[in-house]
Amino acid sequence: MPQRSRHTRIADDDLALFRRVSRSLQAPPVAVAAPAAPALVIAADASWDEVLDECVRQLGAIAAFIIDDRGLLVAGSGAMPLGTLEGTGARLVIAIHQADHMESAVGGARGITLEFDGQWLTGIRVPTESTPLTVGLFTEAPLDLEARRAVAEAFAPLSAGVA
Amino acid sequence: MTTRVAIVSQKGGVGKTTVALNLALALAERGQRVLLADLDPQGGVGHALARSDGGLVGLADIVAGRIAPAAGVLPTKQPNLSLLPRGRLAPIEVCDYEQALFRPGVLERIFAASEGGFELVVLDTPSGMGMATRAALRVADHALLALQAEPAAFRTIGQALQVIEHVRAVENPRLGLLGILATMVDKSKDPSMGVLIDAWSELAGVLETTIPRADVFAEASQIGLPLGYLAGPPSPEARRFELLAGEVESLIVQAAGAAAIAHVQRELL
Repeated sequence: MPQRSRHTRIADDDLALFRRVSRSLQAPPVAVAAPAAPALVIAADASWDEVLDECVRQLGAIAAFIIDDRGLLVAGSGAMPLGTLEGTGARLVIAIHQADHMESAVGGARGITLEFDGQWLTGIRVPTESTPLTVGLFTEAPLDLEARRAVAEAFAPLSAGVA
Repeated sequence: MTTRVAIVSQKGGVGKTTVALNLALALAERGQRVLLADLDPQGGVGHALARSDGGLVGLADIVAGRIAPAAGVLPTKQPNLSLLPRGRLAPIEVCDYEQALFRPGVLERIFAASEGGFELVVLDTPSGMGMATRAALRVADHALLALQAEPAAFRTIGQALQVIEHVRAVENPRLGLLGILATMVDKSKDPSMGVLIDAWSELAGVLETTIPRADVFAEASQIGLPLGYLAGPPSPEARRFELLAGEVESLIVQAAGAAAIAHVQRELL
């Protein structure tokens, strides 16, 4: 028989739950554990091609590429022919545009992830001063949120002057 | 930047609408620009102001696409306070309405388009932790949990705490528990005081201000006014809401400061 508190005759188990949850909710909402090591380390003066090479190396990607908003390949790296990347990239851009129009979308789509047989294709939008660019990555496992953000941040300085 | 506070409770009849209305007014009188939004399909705020059911356009009209979001905002005679009433909603449409509110992004888009110029949005919610309340918690920065000072209400407070915890973990990481507000407190009754004592001693975040059980609430409801607008000198209960507004303001500032500190720590590490 669980013990009861003196005033409200509430079960100790219940009280312990209320105590735990009310205390956890008092903590700052964003006070989460310290972040792990950065998902991607890129030199400040790296070029487009070098950033793509680092994505392939550090994220273990099969291939990485940049596509413009018309679906044209800007640069590519990794173990896939550029022609394949261009065709894939064009469809990826269309898919992201379609995602923008989903009824449940809040704001524009920032990216998209597609699963194939044993491969994942992730498209990440990188805003520029004019039309957005899309970074595409083929990987053997889905990229987590931190890695996707790291990719977007790595390309952001390079895209700042793109018109 | 607008801060949104959802007034919630797992139990009915605890005074959520009374708290929402009078707190919103007290905050407005302290100089905050406040929007009071009625997410309760019963339209509690409109009824508390003695308006006929469906007499005001508002949220339900926006959700149905009958009016633009900004057109649902109704100014009041207190220049700092505006209302977003429930709007015109037939009782048989309540299920569809709640489902529409619950759809991801719907409420966020409505507030983004209607809350410009307001520093605070106070969200009044229906009883229980159903779809309309969950929708409010998804877009809120803070939850203010009303706890009726009666043992039965205290025994079920875990339902609300667990839903808030879940929404914060899964749906809205911004959400925090601003505090637990004891309502309908009767200091002449041992069970009521027992709840206060247990809550203050066992739970985190129980506010210092409490809202008493008093006849003046029924009088205000009968006339359709917030307490502060009743004729005569301000009642002690109306002054409670001034105290509550001050405590809520300082808790919001404190929470913003804590979040900023956490952000700095994350960057440094």
